[in-house]
Amino acid sequence: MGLAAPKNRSRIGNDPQNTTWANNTTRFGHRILTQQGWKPGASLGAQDAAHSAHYTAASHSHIRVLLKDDNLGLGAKRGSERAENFGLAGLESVLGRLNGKEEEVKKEEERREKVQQRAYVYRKFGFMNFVSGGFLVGDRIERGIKRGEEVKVEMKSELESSESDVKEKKSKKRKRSSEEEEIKEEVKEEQPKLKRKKKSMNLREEAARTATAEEAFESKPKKERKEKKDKKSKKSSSDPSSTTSTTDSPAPIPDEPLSDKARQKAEKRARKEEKKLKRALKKAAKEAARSNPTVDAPSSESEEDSTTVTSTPTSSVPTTGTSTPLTSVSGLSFTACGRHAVRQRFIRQKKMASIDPQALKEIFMIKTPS
Amino acid sequence: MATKREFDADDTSSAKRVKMENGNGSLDPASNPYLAHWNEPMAKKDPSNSADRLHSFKRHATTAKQAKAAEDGPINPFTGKTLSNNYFSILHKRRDLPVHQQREEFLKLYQESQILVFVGETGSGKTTQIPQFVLFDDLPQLNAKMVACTQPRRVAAMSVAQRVAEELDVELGAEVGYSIRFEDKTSPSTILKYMTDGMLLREAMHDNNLTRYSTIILDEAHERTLATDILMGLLKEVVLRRPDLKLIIMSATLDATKFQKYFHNAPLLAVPGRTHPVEIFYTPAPERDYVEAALRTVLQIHATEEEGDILLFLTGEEEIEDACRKINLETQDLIREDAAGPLTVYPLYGTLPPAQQQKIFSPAPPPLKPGGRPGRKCIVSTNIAETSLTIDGIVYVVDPGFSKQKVYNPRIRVESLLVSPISKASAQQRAGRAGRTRPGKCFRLYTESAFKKELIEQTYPEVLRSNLASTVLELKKLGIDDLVHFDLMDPPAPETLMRALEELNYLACLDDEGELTTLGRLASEFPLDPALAVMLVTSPEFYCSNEILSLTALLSVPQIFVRPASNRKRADEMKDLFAHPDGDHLTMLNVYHAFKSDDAQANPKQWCHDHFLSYRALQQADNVRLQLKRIMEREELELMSTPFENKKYYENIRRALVAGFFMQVAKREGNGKTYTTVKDEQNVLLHPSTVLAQDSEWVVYNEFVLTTKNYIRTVTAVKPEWLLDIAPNYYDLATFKKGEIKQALQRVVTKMERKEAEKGRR
Repeated sequence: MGLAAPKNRSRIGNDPQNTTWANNTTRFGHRILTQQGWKPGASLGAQDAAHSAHYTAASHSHIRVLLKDDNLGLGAKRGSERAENFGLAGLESVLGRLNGKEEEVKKEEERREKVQQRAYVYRKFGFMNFVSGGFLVGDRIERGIKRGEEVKVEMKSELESSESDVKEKKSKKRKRSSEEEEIKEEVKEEQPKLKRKKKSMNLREEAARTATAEEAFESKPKKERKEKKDKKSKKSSSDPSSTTSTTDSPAPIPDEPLSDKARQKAEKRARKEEKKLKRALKKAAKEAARSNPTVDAPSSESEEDSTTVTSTPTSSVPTTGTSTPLTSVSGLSFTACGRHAVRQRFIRQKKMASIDPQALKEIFMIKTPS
Repeated sequence: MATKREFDADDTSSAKRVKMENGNGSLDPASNPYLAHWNEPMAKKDPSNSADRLHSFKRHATTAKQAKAAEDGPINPFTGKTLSNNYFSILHKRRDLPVHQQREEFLKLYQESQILVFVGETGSGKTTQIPQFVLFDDLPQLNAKMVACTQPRRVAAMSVAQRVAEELDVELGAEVGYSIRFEDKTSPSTILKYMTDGMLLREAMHDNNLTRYSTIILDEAHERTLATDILMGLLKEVVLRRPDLKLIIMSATLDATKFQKYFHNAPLLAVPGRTHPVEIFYTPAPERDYVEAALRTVLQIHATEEEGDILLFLTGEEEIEDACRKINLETQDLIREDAAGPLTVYPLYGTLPPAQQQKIFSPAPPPLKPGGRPGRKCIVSTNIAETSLTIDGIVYVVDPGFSKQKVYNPRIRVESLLVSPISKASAQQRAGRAGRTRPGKCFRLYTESAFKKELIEQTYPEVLRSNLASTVLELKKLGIDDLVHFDLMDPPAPETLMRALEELNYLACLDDEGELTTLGRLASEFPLDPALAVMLVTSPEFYCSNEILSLTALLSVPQIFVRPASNRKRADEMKDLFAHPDGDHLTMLNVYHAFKSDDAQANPKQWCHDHFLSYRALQQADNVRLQLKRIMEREELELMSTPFENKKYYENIRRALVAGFFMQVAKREGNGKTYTTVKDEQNVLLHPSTVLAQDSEWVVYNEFVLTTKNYIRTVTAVKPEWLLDIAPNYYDLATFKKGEIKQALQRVVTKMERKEAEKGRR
């Protein structure tokens, strides 16, 4: 933070550790302890205690605590304390390579990159990501699924891939690329808003923002997928339906009463099935050059994963049994065409509105004396 | 003894039967009080019958089958009366508890060895069932002994005793009783006694071998409270002296190897609990603001996850109240957007009144409209929900990884109450809370590597974090002289022990050889900090023991002033009504006197509410005062007051304060705001809550805490002459470091000498 950081002046006394007391060996306490056979530097307790291996440092000297005067999360460091801010990180890796620690350096760099990418996503959307750490069975962590790692990586590369997708497929798929650009636009639209608000991280706005971001996020893959599916048969169906519904646009989103999670799960399932179907169709009907499965498949997978990350890796939830009856219900809701377009339109409108402060106030229902 | 018990049993049984029969509405000659002489022989038969039943039991050689038969009734084997229907319905449920599966195994191990380590997860039923298993095998009534089961918390001791009395179909206080500080609900017929660990320690002070007990069960040993730790060290020695005494250590965590090792490789019995798997989630990167991240997580869970209640761990009252407000605000928005169902938020922290604490058990709100999204509740709690309280229905846990912990620094004698990272064990415990009713999820607001690298393995036990002055006094009273080699599970830092010894020495509780003095013995009779106890014991010398008694009681209960965030100004105004310019101690005394006036006693609750005082704390203080008064009367300490009209009334009280707290004195630096503590020379500030006028150079303080800054709390102005006069040992100028304080004291000494000389000349 440097000079911009709030000044926190505190006076430190002459002897904050009170070494005058600690170093004084003529004290009553010191005398009694040595009388009873204690030697300076030794810990107390029974001689040759069987459990002495379990003693902690606190048995030798009092517990040191740090005054925490901020809300920094566990493991987070203040901006200025990060090595990369001074360019030290680059130097470190150069020196590391010179010392023949190629692999370690690479690992470290990758890790750093990951963190940065993650930070980028975080800044953009601000919602929470979680990585599965296994199950707590009784008192022990059991990790059968090593899914967490994959999910993490996928998550970060998601944005990149969508952007690169755009570049790669521009020529091939006009419709699709335009869709992608729309998303990009959305993201960009969001950016000024974020910047504006970053200064006053009002939680109200913050959460509202996350909500919209989340919605955008959720709707993205859906949208794409649907678009893909619709392309063949009902290409035009989404547009008229959306235009008709724009008139009553701020109406509640129809699928909201359904539990979001269940819906997501169901959608995922439906999507998977669709994907299979679609692939088969693609391979059969379309020319081989049009669809580039190596690019398409990973990107769609990553999208899928991104949605799961926002909630949880669905497959690892032990209650999957309960979701089966729900599938049919939400599966139906998924095929209801046009709804997603409405939703998408709604979101876009909201975003447009967010540029206009007056409209923003209306959306957030903030009453201001005008 | 035995005959007496039988008589008691008769008495209660007939009384109970009358009640029962009336409930059924049937007319039975047995229930007719006029025909009491008829059923007398019948009642006589019952106990003999029951005695027969248990007489066939051989002590420490019974089997689960036998016990089961005895439990099946139809006659209560301990009281001899017929068992009620309620008993059987409870018995049915009890048999379903996980511990019952291993009753045979438990009995075998229990009979074989003197010490047993028992591990049962929460929900295994160990606290209620194991003592009963022991009862059927140990048969303490035959030897006129008791089974004791300790609990770290008073409330737990009371509620568990109540439950077990129901399960055994006896009246609370008869066969099953409890004993907590300031309340003893036992009788001569008690065979199973639930008690706080502190109470058992107090009993050990008078009965070093704990001869009243045949089995001692230390429950919740994993919490490692100060008293439990001391008890373990003590009992480890007692079992060597008393081969007939059995000891069971019960813990809820699987880290039992430490306990086993400590107790000479005692056998271990583990019973699985009824917990479901909990999925753990970490954040991929560290959070910039854990509170904000926590709120977002809660809202996201609420909006996207399935039905199930949320438990969020935060650190302190203020943070919790703030978070509750924000969550409420946000959910209203969510509901308006129709993105989520209703959400009720409950705060939970130690100082919350019990009525409000109870609210957390109310069910989650129903959906707003039939068929709508289900509602849920969100509890925002300090770490008391980690172990102390069990809330069913929690499916999601949000854990930012921090808690407020008390840590004592013996060097500067400050007690810090700071937000610090929790331990791994504590994080697992928190996560486990999500799996009580069905598979749950725990969202940790830190990375997995932070979990591995930044968290310590175990939370430091209390013995490593506390001022040990009162513990050392207790140990001395328990007859333990070699404090250096006292076998504690985690020995405290040498400096902590030194500090404690020195404090006791200055208070004249220990003589220069480290032996307990008469004053020390007297002080140890009081369940108080040594400084408070000494103040109380010496108060008759200052003619104000009544007032000091009240003050001591007030200082040993939670904060009496209430200052709600919404109404701070008004609360401060009300406090000013009682303010005494000389300091907070006297202000508190004024409050107490006002509270005891007829005016207030007409409707004390309302009065407290109107004056922003905690009715609960004042009531508690009243209770503590009564108990302390009894001890004072027993120890023949005179209770007296200086007449209020006398202008020395307040001065005497302040002098008496110095007699106990002369080691907690601070002097103002120049004319500034900061103070320096005497001898330790730490810079401190007066806590903003003080009513003290700013122009007092010397103050005595009740506590020195490090929260955001170094604060001294509850301060009262004193005169330096008193310090030199009352505690010449501590204020021996030769031992002082060169500096402002020494100079100031030197000036006072010369002034006093001059006065003395003048007086002599006259």
